[in-house]
Amino acid sequence: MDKDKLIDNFLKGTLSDSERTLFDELIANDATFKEEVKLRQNLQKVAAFEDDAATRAMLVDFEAEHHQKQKRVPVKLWLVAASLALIISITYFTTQKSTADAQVLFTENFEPYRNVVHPIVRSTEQQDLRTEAFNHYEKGEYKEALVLFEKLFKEEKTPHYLFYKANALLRLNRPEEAIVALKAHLKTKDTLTQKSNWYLAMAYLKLNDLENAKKNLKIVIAQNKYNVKKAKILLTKLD
Amino acid sequence: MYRSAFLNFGKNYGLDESLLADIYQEAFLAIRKHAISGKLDQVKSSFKTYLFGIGKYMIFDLLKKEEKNVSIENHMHLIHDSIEEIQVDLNNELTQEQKLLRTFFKQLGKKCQFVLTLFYYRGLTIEEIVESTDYENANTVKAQKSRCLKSLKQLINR
Repeated sequence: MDKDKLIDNFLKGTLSDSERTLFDELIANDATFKEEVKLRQNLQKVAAFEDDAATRAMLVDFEAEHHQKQKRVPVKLWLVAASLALIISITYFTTQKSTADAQVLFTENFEPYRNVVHPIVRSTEQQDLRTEAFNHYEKGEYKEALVLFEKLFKEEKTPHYLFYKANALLRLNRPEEAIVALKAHLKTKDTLTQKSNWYLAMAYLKLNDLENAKKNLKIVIAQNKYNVKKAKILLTKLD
Repeated sequence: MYRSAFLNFGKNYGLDESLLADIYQEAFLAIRKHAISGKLDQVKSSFKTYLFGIGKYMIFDLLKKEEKNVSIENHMHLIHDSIEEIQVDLNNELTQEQKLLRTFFKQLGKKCQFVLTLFYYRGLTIEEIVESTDYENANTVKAQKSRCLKSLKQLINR
C-alpha cells in the first residue's frame, strides 16, 4: 500500500491492524512521512473550519430573511399613522436624552483597538519611529501617537496606520477626522479592514449620527467576523 | 425548524433573543458536525430533543463564562425541563499553524477547496465524490486531489 493511501486511511479511521503497524513504524522512523501526516491532519481541521464558516454564513442569511418576513406582517393603516405620530413625538421630546445616551453607549463600547501590527519588545535597543508611535499608543498618549502615525503613513503608505490613526482620533474626541481616516482605510485591504466598520459605527455614535451608526453596525453583523455580538446588542439598544 | 420553541426554551435561562438566536445556529452547526463525523448514527432521541440538548449545554457554557452560574444554580430548581444536556466540543479555534495553512488553503481554486473538503472533512470516498459531483470517474478525482495537495504544498513552500 502506498503511503498516500495509508495516511488517508488513518485520517478516516479505517486502518487495518497490519496497516496500523506499518503506520506506527513510519511515524517513528520517517520524518517526511510524519510531516505529511501532520499537514493532512491540519488540512482536515482547516477544511472543517471553512466548511462550518460557510454553513454559518448561510444560517445567518436565513436568520436575516426570517426577520424580514416578520416585519412584513400586514398592519392596518391607521395603526401605522398612529405609531408614526407617536414616534415623531417621542423623537421630539427625547432628542436631548438620546444625545446623552449615545455618548454613554460610545463610552461603554469604544475601546482603542490593541496594537497587533508592531509588537513592542522590551529592552529593544532600536527605538525606531514605528516603535515610538506604538509605544505612545499603548501608553495612551494619543496626541503623540497621532503625529507619528500620520508621518509613518506618508512615508510607508501602509494602510494599517490609517486604522490606528482613526483610533487615536476617536480617543481624542475628533470623530469627524476619524471617519475620514476610516473611510480611506476601508478602501484598502488588510487584516484590519474588517474592523473598520465597527469603529466607523463608534465615530458616528460619538457624533450622535444614529442612522449612520446603525448602518455600519448592520455591516458588521452581515460580515459576521468582528464584534458581531457587541454590534447586535448595541443595535438593539439604538433601535 | 423548532426555532421559536428553542428561543422560548432558552428564555427561561434569562438570555436575550439575539444571543439565543446565535446559540440556535451554533447548535445546528454542531448537529451537522455530528452527522458528518458519524456520531448521529448512535443517537436514539428525536431531532428536537437532540437539538435542545446541545442548545442547553451551550447555554450553560455561556452562563458559566459570564459567571452567572452562582445565581443560575439557585434558580435551577425553578426551571422544569427534562432536556438532558448533550456535550459538544466547543473549541473550534485553529492553532497558529492551522491559521497559516488556512490562508494558503483559501488561495487554492474553489474546485480544489471543494474536493479537499469533501474528502478530508466530510469523509466522502473517491467513489462517493464521483457520484456527487460532475467528475467523470475515480481516476480524475484522484488526480485532482493529488494535484490540489501538491499546489497547497507549493503555496506553503513558496
